[in-house]
Amino acid sequence: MRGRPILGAISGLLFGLFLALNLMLWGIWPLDRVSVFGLPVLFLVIGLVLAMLAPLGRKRTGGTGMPRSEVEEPAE
Amino acid sequence: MVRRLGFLLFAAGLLLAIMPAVANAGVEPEGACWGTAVIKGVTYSPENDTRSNAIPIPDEEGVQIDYSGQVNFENMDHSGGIAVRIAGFDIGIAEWGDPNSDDTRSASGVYELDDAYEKIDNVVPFGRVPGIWVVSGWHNASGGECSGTAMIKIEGNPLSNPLGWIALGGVVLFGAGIGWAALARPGRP
Repeated sequence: MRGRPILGAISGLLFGLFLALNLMLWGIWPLDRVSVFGLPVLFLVIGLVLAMLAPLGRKRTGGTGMPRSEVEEPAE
Repeated sequence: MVRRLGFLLFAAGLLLAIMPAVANAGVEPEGACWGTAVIKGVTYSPENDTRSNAIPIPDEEGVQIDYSGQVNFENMDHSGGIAVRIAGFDIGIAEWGDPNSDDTRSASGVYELDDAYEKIDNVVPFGRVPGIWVVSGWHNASGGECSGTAMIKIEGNPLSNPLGWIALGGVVLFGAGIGWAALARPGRP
């Protein structure tokens, strides 16, 4: 666990609900079972997976698994 | 009685117009309920039941809807209703019923859309909400029954309604929440 899975799950769930509402308001898709239940569950999973992988804001490593700042530069 | 008959006529016309003729295929005979509605010169029928050909409801004042409808069975002691279907659940918005002892089976007339908007604006917290909606209707009588759904598209800018801003804010806020959750926490492997 690198990120914040609980935040990711809750945010994904609510993001899906509000997305469904937007799709209805903009005349794209009505509030049916697919949008009201499907989208929140889909984004719950996406939020959870993204939080577990936490691909954002990682420090670049020098190939040792350690942050670049902790990798000793070779002596010349 | 006149108001009730007027509502019945409107319901039988507009709602039967937007009902698929064979909503309960295998249960109801084809064409048990039928009708049309003319909105701004365009005629809509039971075929207007998908997202791509939803019935547009103009967000304008003074719009008149010419309707006509009929049922092809004995129509005495009838009852019916209209509902908005959200996530598979029907939320009733109107019902009707009448002995209809003279067995009237057809209706036609003109409905003022402003009347509907006035009721909506008085009852619904955010007033008329633009967007695409699923509307369901049913009608039972001594000689048969029919039911069905249709799609209507209430025109207008969603951001002219507080609900539009709430929905947009929610997407931005919780989208940012997903992004925040996906940020790696320092010190975590």
